[in-house]
Amino acid sequence: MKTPPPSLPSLIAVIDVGTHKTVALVGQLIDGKARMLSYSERRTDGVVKGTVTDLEKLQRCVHEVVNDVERGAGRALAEIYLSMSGPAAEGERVKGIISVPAADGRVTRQDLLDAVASAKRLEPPAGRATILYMRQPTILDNRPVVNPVGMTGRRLEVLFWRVTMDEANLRLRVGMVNAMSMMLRDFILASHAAACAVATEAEKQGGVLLIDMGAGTTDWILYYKEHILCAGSIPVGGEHITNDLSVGLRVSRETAEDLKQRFASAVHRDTDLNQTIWKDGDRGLGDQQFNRGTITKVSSLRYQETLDFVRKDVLRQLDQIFPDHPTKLDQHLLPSGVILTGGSANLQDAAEAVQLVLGLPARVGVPAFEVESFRKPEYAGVVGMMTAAITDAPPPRRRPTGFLATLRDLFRF
Amino acid sequence: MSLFRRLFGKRPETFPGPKDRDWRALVPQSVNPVPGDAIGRRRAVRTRLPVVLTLLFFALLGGLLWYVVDEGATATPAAEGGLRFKTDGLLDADVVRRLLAAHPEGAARDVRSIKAELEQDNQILAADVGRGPDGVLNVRLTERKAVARLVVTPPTGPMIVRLLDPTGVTFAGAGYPAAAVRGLPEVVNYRSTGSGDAMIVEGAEIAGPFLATAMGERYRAFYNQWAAVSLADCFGAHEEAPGSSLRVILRPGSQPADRPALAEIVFSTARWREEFGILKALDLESLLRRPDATAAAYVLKLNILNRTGPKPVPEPRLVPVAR
Repeated sequence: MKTPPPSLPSLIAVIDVGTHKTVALVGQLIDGKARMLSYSERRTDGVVKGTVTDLEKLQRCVHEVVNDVERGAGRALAEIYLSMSGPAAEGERVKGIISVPAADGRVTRQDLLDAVASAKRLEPPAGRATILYMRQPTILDNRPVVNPVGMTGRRLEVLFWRVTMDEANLRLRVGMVNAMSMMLRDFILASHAAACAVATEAEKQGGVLLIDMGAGTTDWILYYKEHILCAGSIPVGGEHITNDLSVGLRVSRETAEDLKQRFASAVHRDTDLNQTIWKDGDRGLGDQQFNRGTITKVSSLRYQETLDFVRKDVLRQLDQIFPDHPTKLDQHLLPSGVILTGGSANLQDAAEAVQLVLGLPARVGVPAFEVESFRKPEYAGVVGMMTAAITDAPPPRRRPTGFLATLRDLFRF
Repeated sequence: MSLFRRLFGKRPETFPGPKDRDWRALVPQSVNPVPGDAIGRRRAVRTRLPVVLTLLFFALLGGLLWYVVDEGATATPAAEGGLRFKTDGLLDADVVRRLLAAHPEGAARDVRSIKAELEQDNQILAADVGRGPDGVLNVRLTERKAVARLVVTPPTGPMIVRLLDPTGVTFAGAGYPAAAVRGLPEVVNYRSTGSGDAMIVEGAEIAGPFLATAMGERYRAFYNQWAAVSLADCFGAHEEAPGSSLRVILRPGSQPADRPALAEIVFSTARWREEFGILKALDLESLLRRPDATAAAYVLKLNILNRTGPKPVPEPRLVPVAR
């Protein structure tokens, strides 16, 4: 019997456009696992605090990244997944409720579909477009259930976390991708992507808060009972610490960034005041000395303030979801604590600062990835995007065979 | 149809609802095939390069095949005017067209009569004439190959050049390029009767095969030096007659100037095949450069036999040209 030719795995391309850097990954899904083909990283231009301020610059930057990964992969990209973060993306909880029509109260598949349709029937706010729905727990007679089909009850509630984006931003992103002769396959929520990379299913089941602190924005997402409960974003990030250091120490942004990476900390200690550090380290002409206490004081204040913003935003959203039950961030709600990702998670004592501000155990999330240089918290987003894209990846297509296909492979760039 | 659809078709919903707010419905994607910037153009070229190279490869392959087929066929079949013509020589389809035009039935004529009429031309050795199922007349000619030329001077009018084939038949040589005709050795001092295709040359039946053999790969180098073949001493049908010979006159400029020239080669009409072998075996260059070769030019006589023994033995001789 003749064996059919092996199928050609489809390309999965993800692009994470951040305030500081744009990263692209291209992989192939082989035997259910993504094998990376190429990656590229470039400094982002034209984005400030997660908002596009110069489309041409951003498009050039993204196009260069696409060009790099295409050359690396040896294949042209037809469609990509794009990250979605910052204040442009907003989330809200939508609910669909039905009364179970059967006399015996048995829930059928059609009842579940009706409840889902009822939830999705709610219009998004004016001027905003629905980007994606993320499943939340299903409730049958005030009892959370995983699958209500076949169970009995009277009232079936289906909940979704709906992510929306304003139309102008959506057109801008779709137009940018289309102009590069590619289709935009889907958006992936950056914070959800980061969670896919670093949070385990057990952590999500127990309850975990993921904070993805980037350069311009801080995105967060809260998982409870395996599902996303709420998510949000605040326009404050690592660049604010750099900016504060630049102003506070009267140095350039480049110097401030360098000092931040080397000496800044998320927690200020009195012992830091006794340390004197040098900018270049050679103590030569032009070298400057600083008190490390000043640096840690500035950076920790801003870092902890950002975490406090996150705490307030999480509580605000929880109040909206559970208006009758005042909630607080503690280990009862989030036994798995907090996971920190993003470039600012590299700051010294970042996890300790989270414990101080939020009162929860914290750890820095490092993605497991085949390339060692990507095993850093700042790459959790893009690695997670690849993980999330795998579940939505297009099916493998039939590998072209014959003389023509061989010839084309021969001439392939 | 559109009116029917407008009247009875499903009406679009006035309030499409949240589906209309889905990002895919709200912003339909329209992919730009070639991005306008430099990076995009580079990407587009790189993406299309395998296809372009593949096409180029096939175009080149097709071109090569066409060239090989075109070169392999001695003539391209012409399928115009209900005639498909093919030849292995130099005649063109006009020969057949003229023949058909001269007859009231034209191409509808009986193919045997067309064949007979074509074969009346001395240049055509054989004509294969048939009619295809589509009614097209298929003509395939086998032409005579020229080995030498003859210049005929009629009593009146300009001189005529005719060509000689390996069987000793003369023909007009239509379609032969002038340069090719000039390159053939000339048959001189011949005796002939008749004119045109009915012309009979005495000794041509010996000279034809003789020249055809010389024209072959084995003796081609000698043949290229021959300017003319004299039939003055060729007695035609009496090839065994003593003294019957074929005198080959060599081109003056075909030999080195620093040695005596070989002006003529004399072959006997009876044994010219063996004499070709002797000619090939002889080291003429050394013989002509010998110190005792003092004459300006020599004649190589291959037809001399030494009859002193019980069996005559060929005894080629270099004889100075009498001044």
